[in-house]
Amino acid sequence: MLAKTADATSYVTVNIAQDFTEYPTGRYQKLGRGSGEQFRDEFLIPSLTDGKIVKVEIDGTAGYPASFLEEAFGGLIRRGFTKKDLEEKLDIVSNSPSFEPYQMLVWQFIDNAEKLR
Amino acid sequence: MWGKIEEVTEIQLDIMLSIRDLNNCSMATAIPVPYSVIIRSIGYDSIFRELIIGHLQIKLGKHMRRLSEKQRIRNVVISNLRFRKSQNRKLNIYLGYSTEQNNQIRLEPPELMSFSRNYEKTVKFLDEFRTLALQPVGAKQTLFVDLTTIQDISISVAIVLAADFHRWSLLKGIRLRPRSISKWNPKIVQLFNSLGIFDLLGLPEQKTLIEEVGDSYTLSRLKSGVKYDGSKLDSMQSMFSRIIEGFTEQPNLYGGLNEATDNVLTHAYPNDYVPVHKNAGQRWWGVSCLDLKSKSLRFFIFDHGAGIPYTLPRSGFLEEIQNMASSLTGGIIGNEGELLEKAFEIGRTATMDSHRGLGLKKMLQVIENSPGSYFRVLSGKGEYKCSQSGVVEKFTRSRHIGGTLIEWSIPSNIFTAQIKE
Repeated sequence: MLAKTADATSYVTVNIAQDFTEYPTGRYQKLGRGSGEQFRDEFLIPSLTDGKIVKVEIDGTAGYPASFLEEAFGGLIRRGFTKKDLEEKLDIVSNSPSFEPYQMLVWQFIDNAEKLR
Repeated sequence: MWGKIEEVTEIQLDIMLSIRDLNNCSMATAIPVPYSVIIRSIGYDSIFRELIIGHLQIKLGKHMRRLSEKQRIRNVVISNLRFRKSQNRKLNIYLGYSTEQNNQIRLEPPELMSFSRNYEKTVKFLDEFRTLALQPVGAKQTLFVDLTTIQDISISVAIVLAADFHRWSLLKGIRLRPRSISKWNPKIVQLFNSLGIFDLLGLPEQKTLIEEVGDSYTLSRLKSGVKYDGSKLDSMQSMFSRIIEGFTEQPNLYGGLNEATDNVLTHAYPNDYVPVHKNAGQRWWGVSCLDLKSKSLRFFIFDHGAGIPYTLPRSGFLEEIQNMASSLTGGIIGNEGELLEKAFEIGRTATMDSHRGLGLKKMLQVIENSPGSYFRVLSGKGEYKCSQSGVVEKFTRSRHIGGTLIEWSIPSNIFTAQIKE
C-alpha cells in the first residue's frame, strides 16, 4: 500500500500497545481513555502535519473496536487529509495473523470516509 | 328514588340534584349552600334521605347550617384522603402485594427467576419492583423485597436484579440492607457474593450457615459505570484483559466486548427517550464469569436504556433493515424479535458503508471461531440468540426487559491452550 522514499529522520513509528494503550476503547474521548479520537489527535495528526511518515504498529493490544479504528483513521479524512496523502504518509504494520484483518479494515475506513467527503 | 315530596321549593330541588350528582363523584360537597333547607320526612325514599344526611349532615326537620370556609376546606381534604386511600386499596389488589401492619410493602419474587425458563413472571416481578421502588405508593411506606422465596436464579437475571437494586439505592440515596439472610437459599447468597452484588451495593459479603459450591466462578465482579466515566470503563477493560491476558490471539473477543460497551455509551440513552422508570445516569453494568456447569466463559453487559428496537430507527440503520426486510419478507417487520434478527443479520454481512452494522458485526465475530459458543441479546421486548453454528432463535415478549442485556458464552476449552499458569 505504501511506497515511499524517505530518510530515517522523517519516519515516526508508533506502537499503539506500547505508546498509547493496550486497551483501545471506543470512538470519542469523552467516553473514556484510549479512544480513537484521542489517538488520532495526539499521535497521528501532529506527525502527519509535520510532514513525517507515520508507521503504526497495531499488534499487541487486546483488540480493536471498529469504532476506534474508524475514528482514528477514517477521521483523518474528516480532518482534511486526503486518501492520497495517507497512502504516501501512513503505514499500517502487523506481524500477527490475528491483527492482519485490522490492516485491511483501516484502509477500508479511509476509503469509505473519502467517498463520503 | 324521589318518593313523595311535599313542600319542596324549586331551590330545594336544585340542591337535591346537586347532591346526587356529587355522590356519584365520591367527593364531599364543596357546593355552597347559602339557603336553609327544610326537608319534611313524609314519603322520602330512604336512600335519598341517607344521601342528604351523609353529605350535608342534616337531621330531618332541622335547618341546615351554612358551612364555614374552614369546614368546607376540611370536608374537601377528608374526602380527598378517603379517595386516595380507596385508590391505594385498588392498587394493592392489582399488584398482589400485602401491606403489613407496620406500613411496609412486601414484594415476593417468583421461585424461579430466569429469562429463558420463566420470562413472564420474572419480568413481571421486575416491573412491579421498579414501580414500587422508584415511585412509592405511600410516602410513609417502606418496600421490602423478600428474596427468601427465590430457589433458583440465573446469572443474567441476577445481574439485572442487581442493576435495579443499584439504581434504587442511587436514586433514593439509601443503603439497602439484606434481611433474613439465614433464610435465603444458600446458592443465592453464594451467587450474589461471587458476582460481587453485595460489594456493588456497598455491603460486606454475606455468610451462610451452609457452604455451597456455586454453579459459577466469577472472573471479574459486577462493575458499573456511566457515560464519561472513562476510569471505570478502563478498570473493567483491565479486568477483561486480565481474564483474556493470555488470549491476545483472540482480539475479536475484546473488540466485541468493547463494541457492546461503546454501543451502550453512544446509543442506549438517546436524548429524546423518556424512560418508564427514572435512570441513575447513563449507566452500564458488566461482569464475566466461568459457568462451571457448561464449562464456558460468559460475559454480560446490561444497561437501562431504550433498547435496540427503539434506538435503531434513530441511528439511520433502520433503512438498511427495511431494505433487507423488503427483499425477504415483503417489507414487513412484524415485531421486536424480528427487528433484532434483521439488525444482526445485517451485522453479519455488514460492509464499510454502515458503521453501526459493523459494530453489530464485531459483536457477532466474538463467537465466529468458537464452536459451541453463542451470542444473545435481550433488548426491549425482543430476544435474539445466535449460535456459532448459525442457528438463530428470536422471540418477541409481552414485556419490556427494561433495557438491553448482551451475553456472550464461549466454551472455555477454546482458551485452554493459551491459559498462562
